[in-house]
This record gives sequence, C-alpha cells and structure tokens, in this order.
Amino acid sequence: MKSHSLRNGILIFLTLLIVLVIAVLLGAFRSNSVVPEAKQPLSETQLHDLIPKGRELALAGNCMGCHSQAQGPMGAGGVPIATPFGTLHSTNITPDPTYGIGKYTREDFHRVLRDGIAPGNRNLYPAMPFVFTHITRPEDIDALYAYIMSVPPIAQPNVANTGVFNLPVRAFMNFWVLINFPDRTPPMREGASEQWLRGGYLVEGLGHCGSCHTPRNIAMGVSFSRALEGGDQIDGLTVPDITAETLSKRGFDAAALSQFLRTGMSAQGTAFGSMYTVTHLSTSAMQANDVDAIATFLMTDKHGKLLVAESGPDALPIASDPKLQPGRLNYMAACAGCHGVRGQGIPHVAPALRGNTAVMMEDPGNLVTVILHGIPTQTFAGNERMYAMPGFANRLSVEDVAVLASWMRAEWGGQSQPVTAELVQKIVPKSFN
Amino acid sequence: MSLEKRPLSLTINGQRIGPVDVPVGMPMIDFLHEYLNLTGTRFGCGQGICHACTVMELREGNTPIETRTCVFDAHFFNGKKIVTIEGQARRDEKGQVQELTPVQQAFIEHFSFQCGYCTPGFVTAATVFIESLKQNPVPRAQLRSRIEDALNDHICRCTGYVRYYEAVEDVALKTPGCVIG
Repeated sequence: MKSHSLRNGILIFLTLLIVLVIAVLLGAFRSNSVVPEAKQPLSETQLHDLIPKGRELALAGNCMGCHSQAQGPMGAGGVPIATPFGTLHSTNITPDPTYGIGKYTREDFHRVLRDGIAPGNRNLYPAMPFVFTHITRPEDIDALYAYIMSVPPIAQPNVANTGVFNLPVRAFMNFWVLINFPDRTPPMREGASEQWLRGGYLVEGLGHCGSCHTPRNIAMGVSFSRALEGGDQIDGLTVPDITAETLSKRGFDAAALSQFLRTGMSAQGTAFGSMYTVTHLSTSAMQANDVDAIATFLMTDKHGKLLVAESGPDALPIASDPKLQPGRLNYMAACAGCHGVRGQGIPHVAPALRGNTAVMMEDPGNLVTVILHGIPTQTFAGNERMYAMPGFANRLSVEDVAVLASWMRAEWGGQSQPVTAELVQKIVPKSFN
Repeated sequence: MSLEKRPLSLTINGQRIGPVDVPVGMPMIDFLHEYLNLTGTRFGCGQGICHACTVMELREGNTPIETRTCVFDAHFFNGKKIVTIEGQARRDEKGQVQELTPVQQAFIEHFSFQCGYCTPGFVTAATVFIESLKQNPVPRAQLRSRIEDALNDHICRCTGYVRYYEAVEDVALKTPGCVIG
C-alpha cells in the first residue's frame, strides 16, 4: 500500500510538472504590460507630429545601428550577432508590409518593446534588448512607432538564423524570461534633477548601455545587480566598467563624458570597436541635452553625488625598473612618433596614451589587441578623422609587445601587473601565426 | 642635459651600417638624411598619413613590406634590411645608374609624376605590390582594384594617380607570373 501511494505521489508530481512546463512553454506566465490605449490606432496627424520625437528616441536606442548593415539600406536588418548557440541576424524593421514590420499595429509595436513578443506570439530572442526597452513610456513608444513607420520601406528578406536557432526554440524563451526579465521601472530617486531622471530613463531603457556594459549571468541574462560594471568580451575586446567611480578614476567628468559621446573623441581615447558604432551612429547624432543627461546620470554615484574627474595615476616605481626599459625603448621606437614622447598624443592625429582608458584598464587585453591589430581609419563628428593605426603583429615580437604594454601600463595606467608574452600570443591575429 | 643615445646597426641598400650611436627618438628619415646623406626619401606630412617617406623592408623568406620613416624611430629599424629609393636601380661600381627597375621605368614611360615629391614612396609601394603578386598572382579581372588597394594610402599632391596606377598595371601585365588568365 505504501509503495502505491508513493508511486501515485510521484505520478501526480510528474503530471503537475509536465502541465507546468507546458504552461510555461505556451507563455502562460508571460505578462502583458501594454497599456489599453495602444489598441486604438493613431491618426495620420498624430503619427506625423510624433516623428521628430521618435527619431531622437530611435537614435538614443541606436535601433538602426543593429538593424542596418554597414553601407546597407537603413533598417533592413541582416547584421549577424554571434552567440555561443549560433548566429542571430537582426531583422528588417522598415515598414515594408512583406519583409518588414509594415503590418504591425500600434499595439503590436508596444508589445515588442515592452514585452519582447512579436505578432503571432513570437518570442523575441534577447539580442533584441527588450529587457531594457521595457521601461519605455507608452507615449515614447508611440513616437518610435511613428518614426519607424515613416522610414523608407525596404523589400529585403530577413537572413535565417543559424545553429540552435534553426530549431523550434522560441518557446523556451518563456523559461528564460521567468528568471531574466524583471519588471523594471525608470530610475527614480528622491530629489533627483530632471537631467538625472532623463539620463537614467535613456541609459537604463532605450539606450540599453547595460546590454554590453553590464555582466551577464550564467543564463546569459543581464545581471542588473552589477549594473554597468563591465560586460563580457565583444569581438575580442573587453567591455569597460562605466560606473561613476570608475569613470571618475579614468579622468571623466560629466562634461568630458558628454563630449566623448557627442564626438567619439576624448582625452581618454577615441571610440573604437563596437563603441565606435555607438558614438558614430547614435550619440553623436542625438540632441546635446539628451547626451548631457546620459553623462550626468552615468557620472552620478549610488549616493546621488555627481563625481568629478580624479587626476591620473603617477608613474609606478616599476616603470623605472631595468626589466621594463626595453618596453620604454620599444615605445620610443614604434609609438612615440604619433603618440608623443610623453604619451600626450597629437591633436586630431593620434590619441593620448597618458590617461588612456585602454592603458588604465586592469585587463590588458584591449591595449594588447590594439597594438597587435591596429585600428582602421575612422571618421568622427565635426569632420574629424583619425588615420588608421597600423597593427604591429608582423613588426614586433610577442615579447616586445609584452614588455611595451607592461611599461605603458606602469608609466601611465597605474597598473603594475606585467603583461606576459603568453597573453600576447593568444591575441596575435590568426593570419600572423 | 645630454641626449640619450643607443647603438644602431642595420642594412641599407645591401650595405651594413653601424653600429653607430643614434639618439633615442630620432625619426628614421632624419637618420637617413642627416647621418647617411640618403636624401631621396621624402618628408611629407610627418604624421604617417601621406606615405611619401616609405621605404621597403626586406623580410627573410617573405615578401617585402612598406614602412614609414617619419613616424618610426631609427631604432625601430635596428637589425632590419631596408631598401631606400637610392637602392632601387642597378648601379655600377662607381655608383652610376645602369638600369632602372621595371617600376621606375614604367613611371617614366607613363609620365606618372609631375613634381615627383611622392614618387619615392610610390616606387616603394609599387615594388612591394609587384613582389607580392609574384608570390600570390591575381586574376586579371581583379588587377585594377588590387592596384588601388595597394597604392591607396599614397597621396600625390599633383593628383597623378591614374598614370601611376596605369604604369603599375603595365608592369604587372608584363612581369611573368603576376596575373592569372
């Protein structure tokens, strides 16, 4: 009798579990945060009037940055996003009725941005940062809708995803959101300025800075408790910590940070890697007061204090160590011609290395990557242009690069941990091995 | 205060130089001009952009590469083998030019240059390009775009690009093993 009741108990438990799993897969626990008004379509006049506001918000979100290929038609999608499980491709978000989102209603669009669910109950993958756009206010989603529906429609089919995304796995996103999609609200603090509130709304929402700059948990969900403390590597580059304390240590204040975002250039270095696409396509095109607000929010610490720039670190004693002198001489031979004998750089030509973020970061990966791979020619706001930095993978040995990076970090970065030749070897481009 | 100096040894145009004490931080082009009187290498922008100052760096078991001399210190070239514009043509014992290289000859035949300031750099780039084609020939249809890629970094203030590019195309087509099809 006893074993019977145990068996029945297990059976009931398993049945309940299966029912629960099916319920999750069917999306029974996905809440709907779309406001009821969104069911009502907007009039032509309303849509028309909302376009400028929507354009600014689309810039803040850099929607077109991910949804357009370089040199490709705006918003037509197809940008590959590599994940450990396969490659996702951004989709066509132009108003083309067949290939784009032309048939989306106002409500459909709200559902996508608030809840990450496309028409037909299609769960979006979190490459679309809906965990951030979730906090966007309904009137702003209306403006975005008006703007997106106003861009030229492009009849370009979406590119198929690869790997595990070929399988019917969208339903499993319902599990993912259970743990990784908290119901967030825009940052709020007693006595906060309008500027801080606006900045927080953009940084934590549409701007989705944390998508790259916040570490992810084991399930690849955004670890909001460690907001902006530096994310996982992207294209081989370490994503820096951008908390107020760290930015201040790197010599930023709100004005300097705003200048960096508006131009892509700063005393801390020029934007490169994927951040270049952010400054180039998004923040340099935004309204200055919105960028100022973002900078103010980012430079404000947890206690509400607006931090100012700290002075850079002094050269460490180890920089004068005879062991690191080959590094100094390598710098003089290979780098000083552009970056200056004292790491001061040349305005409009080469960024300063004294106080440069890549030199100051605890992780030497970005510094070594730039030395080995170089940076292509980039244009910046205000007709600025930085000519390409050559990669030195075929001109300096891994030992030379290691001692060079070690000396620069000790001289200007306040980092005493030497860079090893083994670490450099791992970063050498494959074509040079 | 005295200048910090280090001994420098290298091979230029087949001739071993040094060891000679050279200040740390002296650009290579100053060393070529002031120490060796090799004044054919041109100083242009001084910021590594115009490429007038490039010389050819020979690599053991590999094709040569271009290296700028305005942004790199003389010591960057320590132990290396380089060819400046003076080392391109074949000379007799007295140093008289006997025969120009195919690239130099083609530039003259195509009237490629006017003021000639950028020419040493273009000779370097074109020679490096032809040497790379000998190792990795290019399909005929791609030749022109490859020439553009190879010479793209070189700036000519008289805007004589087309005649430079045509001359290089001519050399590539005439040199056996450079072009497929």
